[in-house]
Amino acid sequence: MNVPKSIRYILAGAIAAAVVAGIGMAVAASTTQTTQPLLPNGKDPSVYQQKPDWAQQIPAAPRTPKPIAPAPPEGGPARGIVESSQGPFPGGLYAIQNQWQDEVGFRWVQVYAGSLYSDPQQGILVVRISSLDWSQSTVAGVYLAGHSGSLKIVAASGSILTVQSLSGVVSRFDASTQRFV
Amino acid sequence: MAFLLSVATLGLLPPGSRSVLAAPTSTVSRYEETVNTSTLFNQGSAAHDMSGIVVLDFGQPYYQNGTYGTWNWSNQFFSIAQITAAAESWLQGWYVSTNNYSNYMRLAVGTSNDFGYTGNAHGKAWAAMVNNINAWLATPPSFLGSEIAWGGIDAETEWSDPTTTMAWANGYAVNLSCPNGACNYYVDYGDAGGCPAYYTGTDSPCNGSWLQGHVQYMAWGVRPAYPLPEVYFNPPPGSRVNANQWQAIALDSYYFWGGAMYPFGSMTSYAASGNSSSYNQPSQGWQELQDAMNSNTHTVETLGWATDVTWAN
Repeated sequence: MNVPKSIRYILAGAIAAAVVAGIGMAVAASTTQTTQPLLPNGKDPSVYQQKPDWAQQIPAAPRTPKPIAPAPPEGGPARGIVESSQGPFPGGLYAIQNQWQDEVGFRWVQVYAGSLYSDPQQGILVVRISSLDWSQSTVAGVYLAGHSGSLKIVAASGSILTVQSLSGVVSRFDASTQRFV
Repeated sequence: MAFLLSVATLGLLPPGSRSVLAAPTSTVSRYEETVNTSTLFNQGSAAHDMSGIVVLDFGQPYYQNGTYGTWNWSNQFFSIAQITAAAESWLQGWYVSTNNYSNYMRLAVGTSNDFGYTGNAHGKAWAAMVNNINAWLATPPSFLGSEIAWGGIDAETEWSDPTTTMAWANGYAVNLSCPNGACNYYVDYGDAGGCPAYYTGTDSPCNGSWLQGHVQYMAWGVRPAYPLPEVYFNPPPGSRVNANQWQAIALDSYYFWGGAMYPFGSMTSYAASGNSSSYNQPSQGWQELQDAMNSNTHTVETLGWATDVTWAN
């Protein structure tokens, strides 16, 4: 049969594609079974076991408590402006410069000052409220300032915070009512 | 034809390849804002029917009054001694409450690279702390048949630079030890922020001065490390950005660093986000990472575990 060269190339390509897809689907089908990875040297296969073989050899101990070394009690949270950039957010959301915290109305109120990570010109304040024992916390609000750079808390009087942007714009924020004043 | 050859070489599976395995039941990890031993005991007790991995994150590395520890989100210092007692209380609560001795729990005691005192000395101190917790577990009556302590680090590309962060890992590795098989490994439950979500063929940049190779080192390249990737953000349908970023690093690891990298499980922050629809639910995060890893023959695996982190203490 005299098939044009271009058609033969197309047919060859189609056959090759079918072979590759078939192999791929076979491997994909195999992933419906639990698949243990092939680890390079230095990596421990027991990490990927539901229960490591070595642990299976240890007889179960009775469910009785045993002594724990004593440790000093908590010192208590700081109050006022805290020069820490650590915030309770994924790193890709905000770049925090500093923060303020205190008890306000039987709750801890924390105000984080900084900028959006994706837009360093966009200043933000984030307010987080926690129970006095820190057992429950929630982000109560995210407040955008003008587009004048990252914010920093430079002074505090009661719950009134003085906030300054990187370009020098000063504003005041009431942490108790969560409003710029 | 060139395209087909490259497909075969790169080990790509057909688009839409998807595992039909169900996600495992997720465990509850916590951002800890207390080291109160009663609270931690109760948290462990509440997790008594869980198996897999739980992360307790105590905050950024810190040093105060001659001892290492963490600076917590409640803005107070927790010393290594306090964190040790807290972790042991959690493990005790889990062990004495568990109703199934076939369960097995890995408790990762976590910190971060969020500036502070991130570095070599803190890494050494953290590994020594985990060793001490495992020594306590091994003290008769031994709990090591059912649980083990690991370290943990939330290493994010937006925080400390890679040199400082890798120094923490190298410090940790100095104090890696495996008495009777009980190694004090650590899980990297950080991000791959800014890294490409596809294989580029080079060691590509991520956020800041981070490269994919730095992320790979923190999560896999250094001996004690195993990856528990953040698969936080719920992307537009079909994109699975976080999962693809990690799979691309796993594939880079295969081609450039002596073998693929295999995540140990997935970590989501659905509860910590207040159940925001912008964040993956635990089963979504697991499925995205599972599908991403199984999109290429060089990174095929079955993810064993899923955990979701909460602020509730």
